[in-house]
Amino acid sequence: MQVGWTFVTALRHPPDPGSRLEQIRPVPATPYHALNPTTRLVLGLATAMVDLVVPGLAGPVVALVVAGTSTLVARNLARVARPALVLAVPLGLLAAAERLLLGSRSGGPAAASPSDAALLGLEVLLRVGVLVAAVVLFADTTDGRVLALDLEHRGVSRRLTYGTLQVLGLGPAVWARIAQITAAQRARGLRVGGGPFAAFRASLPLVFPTLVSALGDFAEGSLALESRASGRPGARTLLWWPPDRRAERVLRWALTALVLAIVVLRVAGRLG
Amino acid sequence: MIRLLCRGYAYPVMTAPALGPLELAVDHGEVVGVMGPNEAGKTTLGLVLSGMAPAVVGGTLDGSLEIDGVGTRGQPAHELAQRVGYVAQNPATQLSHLSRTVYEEVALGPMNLGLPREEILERVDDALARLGLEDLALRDPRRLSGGEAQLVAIAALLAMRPSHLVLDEPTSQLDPAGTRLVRHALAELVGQGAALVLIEHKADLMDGLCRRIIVLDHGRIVLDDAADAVFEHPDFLRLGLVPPARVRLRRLAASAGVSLDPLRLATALADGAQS
Ligand SMILES: Nc1ncnc2c1ncn2[C@@H]1O[C@H](COP(=O)(O)OP(=O)(O)O)[C@@H](O)[C@H]1O
Ligand SMILES: [Mg+2]
Repeated sequence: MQVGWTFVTALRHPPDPGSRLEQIRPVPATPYHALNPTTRLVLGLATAMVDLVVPGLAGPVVALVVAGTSTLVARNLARVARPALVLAVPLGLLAAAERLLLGSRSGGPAAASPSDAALLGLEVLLRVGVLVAAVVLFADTTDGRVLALDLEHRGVSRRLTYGTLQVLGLGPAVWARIAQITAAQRARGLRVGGGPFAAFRASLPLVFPTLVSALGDFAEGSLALESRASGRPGARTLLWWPPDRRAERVLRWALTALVLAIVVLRVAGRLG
Repeated sequence: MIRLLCRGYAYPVMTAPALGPLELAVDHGEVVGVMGPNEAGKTTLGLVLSGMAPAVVGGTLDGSLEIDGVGTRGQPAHELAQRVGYVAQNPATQLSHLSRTVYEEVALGPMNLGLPREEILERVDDALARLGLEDLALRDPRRLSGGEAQLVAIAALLAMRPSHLVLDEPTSQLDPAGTRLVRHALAELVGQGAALVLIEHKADLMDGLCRRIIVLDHGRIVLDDAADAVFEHPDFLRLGLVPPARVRLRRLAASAGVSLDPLRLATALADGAQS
């Protein structure tokens, strides 16, 4: 017998279906956030490719202009610039120092000129900084759940998007649990001497057991998904998906073509 | 109705069965409480009764599960899920991590079923209202307390509109108000003809909701009787289980030489819970 689900509970706020759907859509904070997440992904990847593959200063400078503009439009400068500088400055200095002290790889003079070394340092600094900036900007402004929804709407397999999200969630889950355990240990008076590095080393023995229990949770989570019919084949009903514009589609194809062209030219040795 | 004949159920890789031999039938509109010490096999029984074991968990069931007269062998999980809804005990793992809002989290099951959008919205609004969750509708599921997550997990199950329900410790993280909401929502469903299996430590939740209680130990049913008879049975205490406040109070009073009118005591306790 099918249970009679038809009776309607008296609702406190009779919801209007249209307004519900409006409410659950995220409101973009800036024009950058208003871009479709797949556009943001392609833009980030193209920036990284130009940054890494085009030789000399041209690649990183063009990429810097794109990443910098996006970051400014997204009003995300502080959160993006910091990790970019923290990683890029030491690596740039290291590269310059190495060139200055050990000379160029091509067996030239034992020590390169200071201006040569500075140029190399600048190039490394730019390449690393822009790469980090592109990755951080994308990660910081893109909700994985919305990207997964967008990809599903475009026909990417649900198993793939679900699975990726769940696996990506595993890292933070393990991390949060380790933080919880070490906090509990500290509360019970366990002292780990030394700085943050010693604390990190002390948490290493926890990684394996936490990973095992996180995998257990993972299995429970999969069961919960199955009991909500997520294994059902065929299309499911989406309540909403991120908007996409014709201009964005054109931009994505153009960027993809550009990246392909750069890679082909690079492989053919036409880019120096 | 749910009818289980289990000569033995063993988890994957394990040779010894974790459950059985046992037989259990739960009728339309009947609520069966399942109690028992740790590791008694309560969770395993829930998985087998909902068909999730072996359909999703794997392992082997020697026996059969029938739901409303239809065997479940070989049925895919998404069809089973519409016949017997199952909520596991740990609310943290019950949420999908795929939804940006509680609203979409509750909608996930109906979305997976490919239902028309209007029906999904109707089901979600109804499920949220039944558990008093309307105000959480737009919250990010990652920012829910344990109790809120538990209510959302139950609402997500209700939105699937299964014919019957199996709940594993559904109120473990709930405060008394949340527990009352769940109890009320469950009583409503049972009134509409669902068979309900409630795995619970808290005898007080069972009390009044379940007329029948079974007690498991080492994977077998050791008691299966009317709730009051089970609470009074010597084996119930021997297994370390705690009867509801009503029964404990009456016993205490009796041992102090005071006799309490059971009916008036039950009413007084119910009133106390309301206020
Ligand atoms: N996934 C599993 N694989 C193998 N054995 C299990 C699994 N889950 C539970 N068991 C075993 O089954 C028995 C019953 O466990 P369970 O049903 O979780 O008990 P309860 O819910 O009553 O505490 C225990 O001995 C437990 O170790
Ligand atoms: Mg259990």
